[in-house]
Amino acid sequence: MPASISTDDFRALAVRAGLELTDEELALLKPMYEHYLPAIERMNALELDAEDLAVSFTPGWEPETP
Amino acid sequence: MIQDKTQTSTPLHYLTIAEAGELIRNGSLSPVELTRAFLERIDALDDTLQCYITVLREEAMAEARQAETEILRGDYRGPMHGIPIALKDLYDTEGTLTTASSRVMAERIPAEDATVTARLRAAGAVLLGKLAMHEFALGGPDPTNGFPLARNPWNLEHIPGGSSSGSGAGIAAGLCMGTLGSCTGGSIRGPAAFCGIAGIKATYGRVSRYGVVPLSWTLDHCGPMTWTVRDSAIMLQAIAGYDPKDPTSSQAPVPDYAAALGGDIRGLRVGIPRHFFFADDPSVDRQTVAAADAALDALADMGAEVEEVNVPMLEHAGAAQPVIMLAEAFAYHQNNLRATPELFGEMVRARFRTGGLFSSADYVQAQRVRNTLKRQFADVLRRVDVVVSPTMSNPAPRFDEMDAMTTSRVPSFTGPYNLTGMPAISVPCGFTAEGLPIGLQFAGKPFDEPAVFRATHAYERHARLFERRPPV
Repeated sequence: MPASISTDDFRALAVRAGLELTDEELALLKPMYEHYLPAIERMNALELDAEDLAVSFTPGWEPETP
Repeated sequence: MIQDKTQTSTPLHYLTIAEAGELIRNGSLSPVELTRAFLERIDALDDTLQCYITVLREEAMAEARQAETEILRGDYRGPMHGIPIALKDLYDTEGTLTTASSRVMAERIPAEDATVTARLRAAGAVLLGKLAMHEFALGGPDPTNGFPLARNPWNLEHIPGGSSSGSGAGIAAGLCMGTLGSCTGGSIRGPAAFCGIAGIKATYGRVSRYGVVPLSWTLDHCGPMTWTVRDSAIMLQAIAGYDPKDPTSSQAPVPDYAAALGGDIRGLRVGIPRHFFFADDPSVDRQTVAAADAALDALADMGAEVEEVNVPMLEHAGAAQPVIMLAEAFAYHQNNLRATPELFGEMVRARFRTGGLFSSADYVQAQRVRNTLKRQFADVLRRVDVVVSPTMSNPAPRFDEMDAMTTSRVPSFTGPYNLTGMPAISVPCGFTAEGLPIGLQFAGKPFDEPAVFRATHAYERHARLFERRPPV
């Protein structure tokens, strides 16, 4: 993932999220999104172990005691 | 009627919960007089400090009179009985405005109390009112959202931290004796550090979140903010424990937190992830690092065994925490963001929208990083009892330095423990040359709040920074 994003691609992201933004709002939001991109890129590059699940699903019907 | 026979040189508004509770218990202090003193203090200072969204004058006096009546007839409920408190304005209060500091909820009056509100009432606490906060526990001090912007009583030109801004400032200025903050990335410990008070984020699941306006379901925590560690222990005792209304609530037994206090810390094993919290990073304030280092020396002098530990995944906590927090916040707020975006302040609107732009792969990878981080901390905490660091990477910024991303430009030292769910507390460890408080953070094993309280209480008694009050 690049550390910056084109305005057209960014507009497409916003539309996908259901956000109808003006050009001014897009211009405000784009640097905020880009602020996170380098760290997210490094995070996504990590090769994690198979045991590092995103979530664990419990099929029981009653709340489990932690 | 109980007379004020305290004969103390400490003003009533600067008594601790423990001190006031003992005076109330032995009949030396009237809850009515105590509550009146706080209401007068609020009247005198809150136009300047802007801590309160709602002050419940008549209700508080009625509750104080009820507490006094109960105590006089022998129905003393415990150390919170007759104690004037306030709540961050995202804790539901039956029949009382609860706004989360947002125009989206500007007229919202809950039909029932949050579980913790009900537990504090059952403990006999007197509710003075509802406290200012950053919008939806995220937005920052945003003048565009129309709600009070609490100010730091140590220097009014600086923010008190957030999102529990009114809670931090209110405790420091003596406008209430205890509050509950909420914490998704540091919203209890941050304002505690900036305002020179104690604030604990209890273990995830330890305190019910039922009736608390959410920011991020998997990261939100609740906990007390008070002047001293002992007061936080007293308040946590009143609210901790299983709640069937909260699906994330733990059934783990609640220990006696006060029993953990008062001992020494000889032999306590203290871990320092120096590679992360003390890194040579130009965005980290040197005075803050120096104060934390001096505190570590003090812990060693007190008999603790201090050693460096390594938690490699901390490097990625600064990506994982905001991705999870903002994605979950967007999921909660997306319908309102689309339908009535004008009701959100500019700061929170922009940050929430950012959460809708992350990909599902970003969110999944963030949760996997979180699990790895938890596993690495578990390995470390098999060898040490607590992990210690500065609470914040910098002292409180000025209001005129704030924008939607100010806090995102410096490392978060609090967010990692929202990812892991570990209990974490901030206590004062010094002041900058400009007189702004600096906080020290202790984190422990899940549900081992007693170890965290034991360590911080001993350090607090040693450092005695609670003797210094802000110039208000």
